[in-house]
Amino acid sequence: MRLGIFAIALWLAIGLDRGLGPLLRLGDGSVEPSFVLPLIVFVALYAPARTAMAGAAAAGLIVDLLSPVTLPAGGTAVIPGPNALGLVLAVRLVLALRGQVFLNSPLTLVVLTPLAGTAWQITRAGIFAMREAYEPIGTAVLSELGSGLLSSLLSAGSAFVLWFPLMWCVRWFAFDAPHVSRWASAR
Amino acid sequence: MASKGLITANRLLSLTILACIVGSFAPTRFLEPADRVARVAERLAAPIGAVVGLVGRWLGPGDPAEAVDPTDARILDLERLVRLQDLRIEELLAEIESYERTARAGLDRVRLLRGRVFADSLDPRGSVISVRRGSADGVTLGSVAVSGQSLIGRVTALDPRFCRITPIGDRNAAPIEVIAYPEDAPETGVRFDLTPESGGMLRGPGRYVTSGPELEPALVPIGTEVFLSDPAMSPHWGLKVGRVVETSRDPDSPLRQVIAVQPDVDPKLVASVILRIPEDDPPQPAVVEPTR
Repeated sequence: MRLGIFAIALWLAIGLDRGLGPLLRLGDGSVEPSFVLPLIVFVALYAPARTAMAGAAAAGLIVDLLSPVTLPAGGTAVIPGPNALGLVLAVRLVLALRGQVFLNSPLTLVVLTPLAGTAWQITRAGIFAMREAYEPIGTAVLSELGSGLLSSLLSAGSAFVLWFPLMWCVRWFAFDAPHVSRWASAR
Repeated sequence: MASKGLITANRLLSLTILACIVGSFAPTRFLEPADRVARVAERLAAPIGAVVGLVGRWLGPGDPAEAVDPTDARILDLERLVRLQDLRIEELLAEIESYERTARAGLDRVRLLRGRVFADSLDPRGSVISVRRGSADGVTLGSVAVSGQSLIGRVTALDPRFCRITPIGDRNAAPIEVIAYPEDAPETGVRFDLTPESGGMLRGPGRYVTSGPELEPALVPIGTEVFLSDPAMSPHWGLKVGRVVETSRDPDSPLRQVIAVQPDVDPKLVASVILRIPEDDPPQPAVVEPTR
């Protein structure tokens, strides 16, 4: 996989998350579709396993860095890891399933995105729940898990929207995983 | 990437995951280096977020900061000073010592600086917003962000080029003291200590203060506006905090009223804010500096 293309796609996905998030949000604002998640799932469908996991770790770290949390004592902090580990586990789930799905169908991305998002959010919530035991920062774990799962569900919509541009430029990614036939990535 | 030797792709991935595990569970006091990296990441991610945000705001406009015109700013500031005067009268009636504090607050000079919101938390559950004004522009940790005369939040982290603002409704925002002026106590007002709760609301009990032979403090009806009166934020007294949306009685002290306040401004929708920066210089009229 070409890392430069992946970096540009990730940068655009982060821009979409940030720029369109307020427009697409639901309820009190804590539920928004993610554009980063479908990209990671798309890469996990086509790239070699190790590359997909590295991409997920990098994307997750960037999500962590761009999501500062407030502290009870005042100030903010960045916790690098919860989203990265969550996305790595989400990619593991997709890697386990990708041999059994149709690679060239948008439905695949639409179905796998919420599934992967569920793994991501459960991991993230678990890490923050464990942190609360020794360094409380006021995380409402169950409420955040609930809104995270709803966000994952909403991401099915962004996955459908992203499928077409991603398939259009799939050749640029130069995926070279052995399970990807020339038919699977040809559009 | 080397496939053989000391550094291999597998080892690099393993090390990254190990670093993520350590970072996930490390106490926040050890995470200062991550914050520095995050500030670089903020700058790299800001341009594309701003470009897409422009499209997003065209489709569903964000809330621009009000009072960007210097004349309007002056009028609104005078209105704030009127409310500040009301506070002064109340303080003088209560106790002589508070006069000095009130007078000092009235003489505090604040500089107004407009700044664009260039990022909010990528995680939709986070509420921190980043504004393109930093310590190089004179922003300090005592500064607050407002839209018009409505308080949005406090500056809680500073970088030379930008600052992070914790909204008043954030779960970790500090409790604040506010004052409301119900119709049956328009002169004295009723003070409340508000603490953030989920959903960006603030809730808290009133202080047990009565005037004259009254035994029960004045009650604040739903819809009343509440204003900042926190001693720790004296330069910003009189700013509007929000509106009472719910009232109840304190179960431990039935004479005390508990109110829930909805802040006026939704921090996730603001496109720009005005930073109020306290200064120690002699009093000058407040002016709004142009947008950068």
